Amino acid sequence: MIEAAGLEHRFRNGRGVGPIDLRIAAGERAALMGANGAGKTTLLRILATATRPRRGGVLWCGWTAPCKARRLIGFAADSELEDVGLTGRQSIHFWCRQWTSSAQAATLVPRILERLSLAGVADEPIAGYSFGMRRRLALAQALVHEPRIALLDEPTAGLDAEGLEALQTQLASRAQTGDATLIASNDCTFVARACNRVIFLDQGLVVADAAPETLLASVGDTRRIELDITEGAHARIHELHNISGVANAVCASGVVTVDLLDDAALGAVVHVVDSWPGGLQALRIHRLDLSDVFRHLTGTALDSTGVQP
Amino acid sequence: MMRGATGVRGRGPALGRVMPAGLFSRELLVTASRPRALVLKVAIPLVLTLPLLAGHAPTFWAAMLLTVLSAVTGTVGSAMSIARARESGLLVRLAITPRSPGGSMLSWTIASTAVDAAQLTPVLMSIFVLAPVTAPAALSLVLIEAAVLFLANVLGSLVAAASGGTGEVLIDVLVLLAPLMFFGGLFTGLPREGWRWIVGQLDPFSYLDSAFIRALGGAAAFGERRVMLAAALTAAAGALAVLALGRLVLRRR
Repeated sequence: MIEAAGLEHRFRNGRGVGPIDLRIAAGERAALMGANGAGKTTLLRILATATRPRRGGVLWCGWTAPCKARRLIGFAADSELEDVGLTGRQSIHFWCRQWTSSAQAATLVPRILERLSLAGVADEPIAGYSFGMRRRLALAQALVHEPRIALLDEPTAGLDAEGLEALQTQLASRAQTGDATLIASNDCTFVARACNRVIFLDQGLVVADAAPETLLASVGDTRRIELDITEGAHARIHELHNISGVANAVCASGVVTVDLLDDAALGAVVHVVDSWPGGLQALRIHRLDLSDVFRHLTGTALDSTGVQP
Repeated sequence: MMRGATGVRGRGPALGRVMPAGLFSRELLVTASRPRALVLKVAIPLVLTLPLLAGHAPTFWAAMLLTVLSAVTGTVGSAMSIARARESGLLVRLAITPRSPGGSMLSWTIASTAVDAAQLTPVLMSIFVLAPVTAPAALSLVLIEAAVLFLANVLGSLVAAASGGTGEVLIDVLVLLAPLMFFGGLFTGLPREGWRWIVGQLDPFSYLDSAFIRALGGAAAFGERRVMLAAALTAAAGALAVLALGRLVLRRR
């Protein structure tokens, strides 16, 4: 559906993307993940025909001409909405009509309003919408004409649980009809649940491209525990490294983070930390997620700026 | 236009049911949704103009103020609107629709011109009521006013595309307008010879100024027929410019 070859677009400060080869097939729900400045938005804008790449080319359903591709694309930017003088229905109708006839819009607009749970507020002015409603509206504007290719930048930002559920359902429904969706998001929980492919970008390059399950399997069945301790007690952190089943242990700002290869080590870790001055204050346990896989692969956090000194 | 079926909360039912199909109807709806701003837009030019007409100000000065008012109304409104749309990402989204960028920008500019024309209509009406205007002079004034407003909107859009943002756009507009108004003879009158005479003949603002002078009963530099021809050429030049450069306006980041 989308085939990009040798795609490159670098800005003067060195940021941007490429060279990148990328293929998104029909029915795929792919997610671009990477730290701020990794090139996610630039890549989405190129694929949306908003930015012309300096090198390389893109095929959209076999078309090379952006003017042909635009008939197939729906794009939701992460910017604010401008249509504050309109109602939600009017705004969605306007965007729908950029691709479709009046008769098609009459069917499509109520459908997307229903699917993204906006029907109840559709006839209210957008100026009165909450941030979350505006984000749903932006998604509705991008998806209302049921594009073959949907490109969504940070689609989960500002969405509540109901909105996330609606978006996930929408993505699944698009996959069933053979439409492709590419999102840029660092929401690990949503991506792991709603996407069948994850593409890690680091400094504009693809560092991993696989199913979420495959990426998570690459770090094994590791659990991460976080233990809140009293400031100053971290001087004894080396004691944790001697415990069998502990893969890694670090301390920052009064929180000890321990990666466990074996759940049996949990008791020993708690026992050791509780013996430190001030004792154990609190304990949290979670499985490693995609942000941990990203950190493991790139050495940087997903929520960092991603800019190397 | 399509009409929705459901009721409307928070705004006039009739307005809320009008569904915009393109940029033209969208811009008109956005403008109509802010009635207080619309009233102010109409009132301010009238407040500036009525004392001039009622006080029988010298035609040269009155025409100059009315021409400056028209130029500023056309350019500033569209420039601010485009600059805001660029910053909010609206232009990028319009650029990636299947509609032609030139066509989209033309619709937008025509809608913006229509709003400006509505804003200045009471001014023209008060001239027609308070000054001794002949029918050909009135017609030529209406035509050149519409054409200059359209061109001013085109210029405002282009300035906004080249400008650094909403903070800079007003200065950029003034930098563009000042020489156009000066060479149009608004401040000094049109020279009768030399290169400034040639520039004056090509400057649409000189024709609008002349049409205002004639309508107010003064000695105009151009006849009505020539003003009407200038109006047609100005509108055509504006349309060609926006069709050719619409892509630049939409795609500029």
